[in-house]
Amino acid sequence: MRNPYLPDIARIEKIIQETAANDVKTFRVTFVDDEVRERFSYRPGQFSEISVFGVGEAPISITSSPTQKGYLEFSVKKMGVLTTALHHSAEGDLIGIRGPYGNWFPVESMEGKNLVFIGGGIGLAPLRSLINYVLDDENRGRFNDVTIIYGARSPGDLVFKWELEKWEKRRDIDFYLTVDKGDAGWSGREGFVPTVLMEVSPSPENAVTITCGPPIMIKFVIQNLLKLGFTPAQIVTTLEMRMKCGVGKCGRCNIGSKYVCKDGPVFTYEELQRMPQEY
Amino acid sequence: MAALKITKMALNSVLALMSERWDVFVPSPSPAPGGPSGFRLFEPRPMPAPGKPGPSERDSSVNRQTCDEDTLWNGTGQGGQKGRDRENHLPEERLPQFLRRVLTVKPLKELFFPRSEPILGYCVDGAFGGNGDGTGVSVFMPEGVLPGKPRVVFGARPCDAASLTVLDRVFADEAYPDDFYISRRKNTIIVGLGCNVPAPTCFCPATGGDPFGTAGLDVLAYDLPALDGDGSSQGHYLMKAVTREGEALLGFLSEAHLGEGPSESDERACMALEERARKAIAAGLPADTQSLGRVLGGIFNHPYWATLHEKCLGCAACTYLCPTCHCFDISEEPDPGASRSGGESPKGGPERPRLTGVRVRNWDSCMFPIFTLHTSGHNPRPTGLERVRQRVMHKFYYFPENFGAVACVGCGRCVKYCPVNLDIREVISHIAALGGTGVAESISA
Repeated sequence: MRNPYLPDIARIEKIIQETAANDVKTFRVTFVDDEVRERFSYRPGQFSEISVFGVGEAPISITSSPTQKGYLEFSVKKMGVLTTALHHSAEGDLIGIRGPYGNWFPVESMEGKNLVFIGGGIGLAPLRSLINYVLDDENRGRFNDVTIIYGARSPGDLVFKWELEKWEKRRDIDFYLTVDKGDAGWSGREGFVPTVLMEVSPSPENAVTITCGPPIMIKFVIQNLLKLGFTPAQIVTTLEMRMKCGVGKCGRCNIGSKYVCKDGPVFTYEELQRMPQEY
Repeated sequence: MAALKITKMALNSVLALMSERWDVFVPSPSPAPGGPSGFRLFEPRPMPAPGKPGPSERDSSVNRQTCDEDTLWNGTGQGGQKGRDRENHLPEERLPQFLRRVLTVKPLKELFFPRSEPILGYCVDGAFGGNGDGTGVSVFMPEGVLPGKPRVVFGARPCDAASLTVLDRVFADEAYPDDFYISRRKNTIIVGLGCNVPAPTCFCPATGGDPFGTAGLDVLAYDLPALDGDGSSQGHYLMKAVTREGEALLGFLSEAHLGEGPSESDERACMALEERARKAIAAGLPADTQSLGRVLGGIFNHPYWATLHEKCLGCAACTYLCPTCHCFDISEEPDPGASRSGGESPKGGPERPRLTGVRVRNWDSCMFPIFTLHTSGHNPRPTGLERVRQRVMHKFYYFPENFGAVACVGCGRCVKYCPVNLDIREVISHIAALGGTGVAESISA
């Protein structure tokens, strides 16, 4: 019996509070079954359906990198019923995971190129999988310059601060951190991500840019990237959609004939331009 | 056995015999007064005791009066005016009359993709997340979901059978095969019944179908009327095998001496029925849907959608009754009394709460606003315009693009049961006309 809806059981090993308001947490989980742990292989950009039994399921992007062996990480903003229940769980609790689903960032075609990551808020989560994949010692040499522009509404809304520090210290990354509005303790950059992008002004020469964040941010980031001379094919983003099955059957996450769960969530802007504006 | 002819009088015996080996489903009125007809399990009646009048003798006079088209169609005629025999199946002698008239209100898909079905069960110790040591949570297949006994459907219309070949593309895909659906498909033999007199709402030829089409069928039966002057007979069913499984079924019946091979005149009668039906349905067909995608690809932003959706109530009757609509929701059904509280997990303590329940999938509809509503409040299809457009686009553009077939079999249920007469045939013809006028090209450019 092939039941595509049957999740595997995983244990929450660690919960990290990401934001000041505690509305984003990162869950580090391990499959209980060793065999599943071995079998579950994924690529940066894919997602999983997470079960909290008695509550339901939700699609969440995998924020850890496949180079981080033995566990998965999911960063979850407390938004609805499932994510609230997940936020109420504790280390040691068991959840269900099925997947990985969807396509992934076109890693092979990024080799030898300059990579420009542009993230906003919790939108850094899916990018982080690819960033850490690229930064991994075994992979770093396959890619050229790495630029990261990341921002959030306020310093308290920045996620993965524990990791941002490491990225800031690395000399092989151009890292730009910004907040829309700082507070008393903030001595860093202030300004919207699309604005900072224009200040940084990365060259489109031999580059690929990968962006994810609130829809309004993505919209202006894309506008600005086009101004900088990036072609639509050089702009990669990842989409969200209400999903249930995750396997292209339940019928709600389509944009035109493309299912975000199966044909996405990663699309180039060139692909999006060919799709109806219904997302 | 390639073909077998049985008398209609023998239908009940045929179904009863098949019931010994298969679960047999036939089109039936609803057991509830006024409820929708659908496919239900055929239960053979016990033979009447000797000396007492059997049900067929008792009711024969009532039948002829009550089996008019409307009462049959609406599924309310099964008890007659006297209210007798309101059971979950027709009196057997009326079945041929019912079969002749009826496209069931509820589509055949329900036998393969039920309205609601559990897809997994779970059991969680410790109320929240197990015992804290990696044990205490299990997921499993709920019992009784998959059919045990093989099944036969008798009397499916060719459009309904064709709908299964559409659903196959979704549920039996290579990447994520869905054995809930596939196992039911594999253990079901489908005997179709050609449509001698297509209903006014039928338009299967516009979708590539035919009143006597065999797509999805194992056997196709022809309803041969009684010959003139043969008042004692209700006529015959001539059953022709389409697949090897169908041949085996006919062989099984033949061994029980329940029929005979067809004569040459029977073959001629079948051809005459086909010709007459095709001629009848040809009048009033909408434009062919199989090339509609070319137009739809260019009219996403056409003003037509704004007009079209205005009278739609968003009731979703069209999608629930559609034999090819397959959208579903997945929701959690914890067992009563099993509640989980927020906050910390209980660790230890002698009384460990236990949570059990099932996860179910239910038919859902793209006509509902919540279908695509994000948790953030954003909705990519916020109004009827986007939702009606999605339904039309999906059936005639997106589905063909993904699977090479239109997701419509022309059964006409959505035409017949739409409360505001939003007639898909008119929509199809209108869109085809847009293509003809070159509007599509100008819009897409």
